[in-house]
Amino acid sequence: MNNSLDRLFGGLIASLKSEIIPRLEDEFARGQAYAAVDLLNNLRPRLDWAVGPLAEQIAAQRAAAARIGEIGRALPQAPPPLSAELEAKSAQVTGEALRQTRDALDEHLCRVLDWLGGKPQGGAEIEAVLQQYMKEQVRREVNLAAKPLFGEIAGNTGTEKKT
Amino acid sequence: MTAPGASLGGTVEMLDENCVRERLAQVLRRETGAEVVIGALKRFPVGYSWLTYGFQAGWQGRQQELILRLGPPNGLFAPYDAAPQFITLQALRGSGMPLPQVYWHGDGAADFGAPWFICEKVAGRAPVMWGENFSDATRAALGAQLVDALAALHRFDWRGTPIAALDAGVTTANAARRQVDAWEHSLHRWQRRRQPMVEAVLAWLKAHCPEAPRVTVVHGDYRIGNFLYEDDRITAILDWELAHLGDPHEDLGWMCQRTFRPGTPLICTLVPREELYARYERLTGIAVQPRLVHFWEGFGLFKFYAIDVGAECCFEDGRHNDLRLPSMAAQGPRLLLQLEKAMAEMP
Repeated sequence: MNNSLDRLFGGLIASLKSEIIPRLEDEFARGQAYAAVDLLNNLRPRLDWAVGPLAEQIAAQRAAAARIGEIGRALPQAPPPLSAELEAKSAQVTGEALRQTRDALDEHLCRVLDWLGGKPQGGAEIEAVLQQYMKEQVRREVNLAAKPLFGEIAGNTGTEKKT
Repeated sequence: MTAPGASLGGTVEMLDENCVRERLAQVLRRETGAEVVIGALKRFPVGYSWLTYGFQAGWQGRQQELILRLGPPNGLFAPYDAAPQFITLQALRGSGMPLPQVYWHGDGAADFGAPWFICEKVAGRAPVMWGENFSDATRAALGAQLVDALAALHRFDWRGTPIAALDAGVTTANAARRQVDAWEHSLHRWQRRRQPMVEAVLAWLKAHCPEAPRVTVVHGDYRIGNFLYEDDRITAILDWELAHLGDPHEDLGWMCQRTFRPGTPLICTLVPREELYARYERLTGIAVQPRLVHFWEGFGLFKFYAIDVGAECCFEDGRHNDLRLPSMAAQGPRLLLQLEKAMAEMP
């Protein structure tokens, strides 16, 4: 796929909103479609192409380039060499590995909060560091959250509820 | 067709109208002692929790519109119990609240494979909190009745009724802490990772649990959307699955949530806060303490957050494919931001 992810998300959202939802007659289905729009809005700033397949491809490219270099050394006219910059690039990390690191660091900070619960001497400065981290992190996350579509999503629930 | 005696354990079967009708006929035959004819079923696509079916039943020359509610094993708050709701609704008859009459219930798997109860179908529709164009007269009438019904609930003398046994041990001193602990327990059951901000909120709630002025029946989800109305009259207060004994300020704090009044200062889009407090105080004799309402509003935000985590878990486990669940969960950070403000502004 060669479209940019942002354009693909934009197209999906636009098509759902302008082409599909207006033609849906079932209220529950419309609620689900609006929820899909909402999820796409929320995924859009968070997603990138999967790291795994790219890393696999890069490893294969590196192996091929290394083998070409080995073979080339014995040739009278060597093939173009791999640049030093490309050769020095470190291995890519996967998105899942990043999430695991994030979770482990959050767990560590939670343990520090547990420790602060015991009112240790001199804990105030550490508490201030944590407060600052939490304040900034919640704002980073809110900035990623799309404006909710609760009204549109729940539009189906008002007229049908019975008991 | 389900074999007689077989369980309706899966949600697929619970959504199969033929299976449900067949089981309904068996249950009603047993409960009424008569041959029963079940009409067409209508499933109401509401909520994330209990399944709701409307149907007509006829026996011994009598025709009645009824509602079947099923607590499916894949529901947001599963596993469910039908008895607490049933017992609460039964005990509250005569309290002055508009309620559906409940008839039968069961918590075993034998009948529907899940907890269930059957109640009358009350006329009316549930208002939505977004874009409901009430006239001023309707708004005022519904707002007043919403307060009146809450006051009737909080005036209800539950001691000596079966409700007392449902939540034994609640006192004015421990009512708040029991709720915080219960929702913390649910959060821990659902969450996949600990987050510092959430831990900080829990520590704040525990440090600020107030003493309740008295112990009353608390609805637990009292708000616009959870009642039926017809013309200018509230015909039934619904959704009692979170009912418990506790601090009456809890219901006030919940109904005052900003979520239930989008774009308006009117509580539940119906009534100004001052009018709510004044009318409620006059009807209950309970002096509303703004500090307590503030605490319970903060608690309500935490409850919303925990429910979001539950929705995330329900979807992740594959128990539901309802896209509203992860969509709802995506708003968790906004709740944490509101909680940060609530903690900073505690009177």
